Amino acid sequence: MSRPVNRAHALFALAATAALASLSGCSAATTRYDARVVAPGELTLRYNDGVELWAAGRPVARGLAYEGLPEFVRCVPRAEEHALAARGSGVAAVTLSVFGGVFAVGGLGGLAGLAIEEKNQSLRNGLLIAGVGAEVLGLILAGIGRQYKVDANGHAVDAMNFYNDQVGSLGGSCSQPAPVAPPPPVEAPAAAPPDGAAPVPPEGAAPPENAR
Amino acid sequence: MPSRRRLYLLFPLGAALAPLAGCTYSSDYVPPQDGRARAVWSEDKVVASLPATDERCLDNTLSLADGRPQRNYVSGGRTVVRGGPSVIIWSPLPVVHVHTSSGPRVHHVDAGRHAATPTVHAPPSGPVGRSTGSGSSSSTVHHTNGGGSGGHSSGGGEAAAAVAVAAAVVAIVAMPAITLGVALSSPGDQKVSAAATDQVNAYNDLARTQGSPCAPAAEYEEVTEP
Repeated sequence: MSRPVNRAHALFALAATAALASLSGCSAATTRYDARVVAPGELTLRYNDGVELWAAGRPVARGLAYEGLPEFVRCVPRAEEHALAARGSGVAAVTLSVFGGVFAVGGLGGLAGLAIEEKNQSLRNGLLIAGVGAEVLGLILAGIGRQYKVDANGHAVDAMNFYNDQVGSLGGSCSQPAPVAPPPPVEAPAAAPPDGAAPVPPEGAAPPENAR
Repeated sequence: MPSRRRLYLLFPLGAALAPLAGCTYSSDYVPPQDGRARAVWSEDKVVASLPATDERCLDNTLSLADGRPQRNYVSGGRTVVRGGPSVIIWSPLPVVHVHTSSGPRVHHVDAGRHAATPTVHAPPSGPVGRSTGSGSSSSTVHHTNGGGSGGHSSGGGEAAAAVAVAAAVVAIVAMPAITLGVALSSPGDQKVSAAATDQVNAYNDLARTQGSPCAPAAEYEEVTEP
C-alpha cells in the first residue's frame, strides 16, 4: 500500500476517533423524586433531559424556550424580569446552536479541495481554508450558544425562586392570590389607669373584626 | 518555519474553543432564612440550599432523594381555611388551630423559633460525568498537533504543505461532530443538578410532614373558644 494512502487512512481514523469522543459528553439526567407536599401555585423544579418547571401537578415551562414562564410569574416583577431573560436567552441559544450546526456541516464542503489536482494548488488551498474557517466559525457560534443556555437555565431558576418567595410557597398564584389568614384574636384590654385616662392597647393587637 | 505554521493553526482553534470555557451564570438570588429548602443556580448547575439541620434529617432527606423506602409520615400540610375550599398552605411558622362555633380557623403564631442559617450542601458526587464536547475537542487539538508533528519531518516546503493540508482535513472532518456535540448537549453537570433538585424537593416534603425528622419542632396547642 502506498504511503499517501496509509497517511490518509491514519488521518481519517484519527478524525473519526475525535468525533466519536466529542459525542461521549452527551449524558442526560432525570430527577428521581418529585415534590408532593406543594402549595397550589408553587413552582417546583424537575430535570427530564432539560429543566422543567411544574405547578399544581402540571408542567408550566420547559427549557430552553421557557414559554409560559413569564406569564405564570407576571405578578412578581423581579421574577417576571428573570423569566423574560430566560426566554430571550433560550431563543438566542437555539438560534446560535442552529447556525453553528449549519456552518459545521457546510464546512465539510472544504473537503472538495482534496479532489482537485495538485497543479491547481491555490484553489485546493482556498477550499480547505474556507472549510476550516467555516468549521471554526460554527464552533464559535455553538460555544456562544452554550453560554446562552447556561444563562437561560439560571434565569429560570431565579424566576422560580423569586416567585415562590413572594407568592407560590404562600399558597397563591398570579391567577389567584393566597387566602389571607384571619387576624389573631384581640386580647382583653388592660384595666383602666387610676386617673381615668384611655387604656393603652397591648402591642401588636389587631383592630376588632367589626372595625374593617 | 513549520513551528510557525503550527502556531497559525493553533490560533483560530484556540479562538474557537475560548467560548466553551467558563460558561457560567452569576445568580443574584439570595435564599431567605425561613426554613424552606431551595434549588439555587450556581455557575453552571443547580445546588441545594438546605437549612441547617441535624444529621437524622439530612440522612432521611438524602435517602428519600435517592428513592430509598421511607417511613410513612402523616402529612400535616392540608389546612382548612374559613370560607374557602381545602387548600395546602405552607407556612414556615407553626400553625395554631382554633376551633370556634363557626368552624376551624387558622392563625399563624410566632413560636419564637429562630430561622436556621441556610447552608449549601453539595450533593454527593455520582458517577463522574463524561467530558462534554469542549473537553474532547481539547484532546482532539492535542492529538491533531501531535500527530501532525510526529509523523512528518520538519524540513522542506512540500512536507510542511502536506502537514498543513493534513491538519486542515482532520479539522474539517472532526470539527462538525465536536460542534454538533456542543450545540446539542446541555452545559454543566446535569446529574449533579438533578441530584440537588431531588434533595430540595425531598427536604421540603419532609419538613412539611408531621412527625418526620425534618418537621419543625413547633410548640403549639389547640385552643377552644367558647
